[in-house]
Amino acid sequence: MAFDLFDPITWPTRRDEEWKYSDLARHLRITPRELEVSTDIAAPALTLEGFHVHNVFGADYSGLEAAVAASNGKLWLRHWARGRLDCVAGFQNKGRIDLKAGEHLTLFETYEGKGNYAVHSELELTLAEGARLERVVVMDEPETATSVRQSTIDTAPNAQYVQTVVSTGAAFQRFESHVAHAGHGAEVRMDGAYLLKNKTHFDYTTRLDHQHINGVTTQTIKGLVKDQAQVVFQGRILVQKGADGTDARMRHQALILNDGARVRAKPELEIYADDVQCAHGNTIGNLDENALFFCMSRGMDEATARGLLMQAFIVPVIEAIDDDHLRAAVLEFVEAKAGGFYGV
Amino acid sequence: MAAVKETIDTVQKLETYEHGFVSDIEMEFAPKGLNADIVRFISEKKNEPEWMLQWRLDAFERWQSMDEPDWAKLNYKRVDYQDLYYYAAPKQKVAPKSLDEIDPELLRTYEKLGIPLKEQMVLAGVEGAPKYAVDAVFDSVSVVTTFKDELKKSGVIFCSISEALREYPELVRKYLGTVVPQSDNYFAALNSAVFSDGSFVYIPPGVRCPMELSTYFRINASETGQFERTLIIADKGAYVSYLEGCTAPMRDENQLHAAVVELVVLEDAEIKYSTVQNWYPGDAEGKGGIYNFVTKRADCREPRAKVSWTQVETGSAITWKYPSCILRGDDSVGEFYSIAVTNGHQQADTGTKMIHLGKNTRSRIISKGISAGKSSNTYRGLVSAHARAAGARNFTQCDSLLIGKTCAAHTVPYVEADTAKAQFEHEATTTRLSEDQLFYAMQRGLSQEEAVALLVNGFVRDVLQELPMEFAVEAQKLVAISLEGSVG
Repeated sequence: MAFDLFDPITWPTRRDEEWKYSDLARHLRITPRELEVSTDIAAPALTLEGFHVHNVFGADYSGLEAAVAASNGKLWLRHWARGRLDCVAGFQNKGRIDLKAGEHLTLFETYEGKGNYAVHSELELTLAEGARLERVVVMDEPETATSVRQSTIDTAPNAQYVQTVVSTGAAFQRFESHVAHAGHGAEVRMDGAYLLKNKTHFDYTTRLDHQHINGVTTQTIKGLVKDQAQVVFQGRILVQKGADGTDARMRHQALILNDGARVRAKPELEIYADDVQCAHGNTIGNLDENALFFCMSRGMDEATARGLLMQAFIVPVIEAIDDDHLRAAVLEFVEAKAGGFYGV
Repeated sequence: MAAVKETIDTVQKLETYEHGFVSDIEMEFAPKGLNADIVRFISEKKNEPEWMLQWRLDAFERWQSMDEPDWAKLNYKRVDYQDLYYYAAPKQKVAPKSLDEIDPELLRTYEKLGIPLKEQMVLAGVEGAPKYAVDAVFDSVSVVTTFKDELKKSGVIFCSISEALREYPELVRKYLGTVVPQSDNYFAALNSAVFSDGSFVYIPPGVRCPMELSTYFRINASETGQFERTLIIADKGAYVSYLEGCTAPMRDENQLHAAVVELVVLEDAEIKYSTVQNWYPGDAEGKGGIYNFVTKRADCREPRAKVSWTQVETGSAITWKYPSCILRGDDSVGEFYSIAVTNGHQQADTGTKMIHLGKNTRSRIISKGISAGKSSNTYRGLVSAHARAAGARNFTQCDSLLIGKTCAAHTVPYVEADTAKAQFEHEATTTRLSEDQLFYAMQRGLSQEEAVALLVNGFVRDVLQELPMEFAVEAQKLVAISLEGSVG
């Protein structure tokens, strides 16, 4: 674990370059109390059929291996945490999933909860040769939550790792993925979408380490921020010496809907091999006034026109999800969340 | 193809670092080491007013409480600040009244470097060539400034900063340290305490400076650090184009160069600042070379001010340099055009900061990094928009080119937006020299070296175009020379 939730001395601060824009120590201040987890789980925010459901209370990943075995390739991990009124309830633990050669898994993770809690969880995922993991994450946490979700992903040649993270933010929320890219035909895609409002903070940090030849990576992250919300995107693509033939592309696009909302972006390239194609793009702005004018000149009122444009901006990320049922469910979730979002 | 041919000829002519010679000149040194007495010594040598000494001592005190920054992607042996001479000047009995009284060896040095110190020598043999004024800084002092009288006719002040402190103290006092405060960073604090010379420029309201101004920095003495300070003020509606160049002898010790450049741009004024940095980069094994730790910043204080930084960085063992623009005035504009070439064991961590504070401020960043050999080249930049900066606009493009298997190229941009009315675009690419293009050029009869020179010059063209013409030609050659032996 990168730090210990129950030991304030280990908490990262903005003096740590990796946590420059997300100062955990400043946010937490008081050490959370390690408590028995409540298993009193609410009904899920979205409906999905055909998936084997496994509940993760707090950060307790026990029984994960059995759940993967029973899932028949489609597993829904429902993370649930519940806070208390008298203190910040803290949870911290690790889980692990190993995919054997050629194995396929669609992993759907939801992060939900209630009240004032702090969770630090870590998932270790390993993909053997030719394995395929599609990971779809929906972070639907309360605005009172503190949530740091870290994962390390180890790939092998010809493996495929696909990650799509959708977030609506929390008081302090960070989703961090470290991928060791094996190259030799392995492919990685790490996308993300966020809709942040009120005083939420979402930090999406990705680290990609190309260690061998011929690795492919693509990243598309898009999102909307409004009110006093803040989004942080930190993406690093590292190409090690000898990892020739690497093709890596990263794109981050943010729309700020009102003054007061903030975007912090740090897309990095760190290249030690010469025969590579690497690129990143980053844009920050508001809705295109010309497009808005076009829609309104065709008879749409402003709210509808704005809604349409925002939808058109964010939906392509979700549409890239491969699993049909999952894509439909996440689209429905985003549409429901976006309902109250567009009216600025 | 003429340009390519010329480049190749130059490359072949110059087997090593062209400016690596040492001039044998009688020098005067301050005692080695750094303490408050040395600061007093420097101030006294320059006959500075009391407030200036206090200002220096204040900076020295702050420097002592600071730590050397370590966040850059640079790996070097730390400087022993007590093992340096902080003041080294050519010995002179009386102040020279004309060039004839200057040590002829010193004049020969500049002749060898191709710097015209005699006004009639300016671009000799070229009839009707544009004039440019030169301030020549040799180790710790400015030896001569040309065309001073002609510039004075239009009201332009161009002299060394020591002279400005004596002749125009109120002007210096008003602006010095207002862009880069004494405690800004470790190297700026050090510079504030011990800076010995540099250039001072003041362009009065409404004046377009009649010629290009330039400063030429030369490190000659060993075991010395050069700490120069440049202050340029463009008053309302003024315009100036300024160029600096730098070289040093080849030595197997690392020498420190910690400079501060402050630009103050007032309403409707414009400063174009170009740098061709060619400090000695060290030998093929990475031994020796200059540590170039520089703080450069421009403050667009009033509406419609404009600053344009253009830099060609080919020298130095270590480069730590981020020319920045504070866009405070509404509608002000900042530009940054950069070529950074690293070869051998050179390391460069360079970029810019565009801080948008005023409304409708615009900025553009074009950065081209080329790394070859065992070198490492990092672009590090910040673009930020304050909540009040409605209508702020930035476009950033940073491209890196890798030549060879053992070099590294990094891009570390920071983008921070606090307003919905800003529009920021950033794009970056990293590739190697295209095999197809190389093949095409060679198949048309160019040798491999010629083909590389051609492609590299194409890669950096956007930036070269921003340089004043004569320097663009020089820079083009310099880029080719710096990459010599990097292919094959």
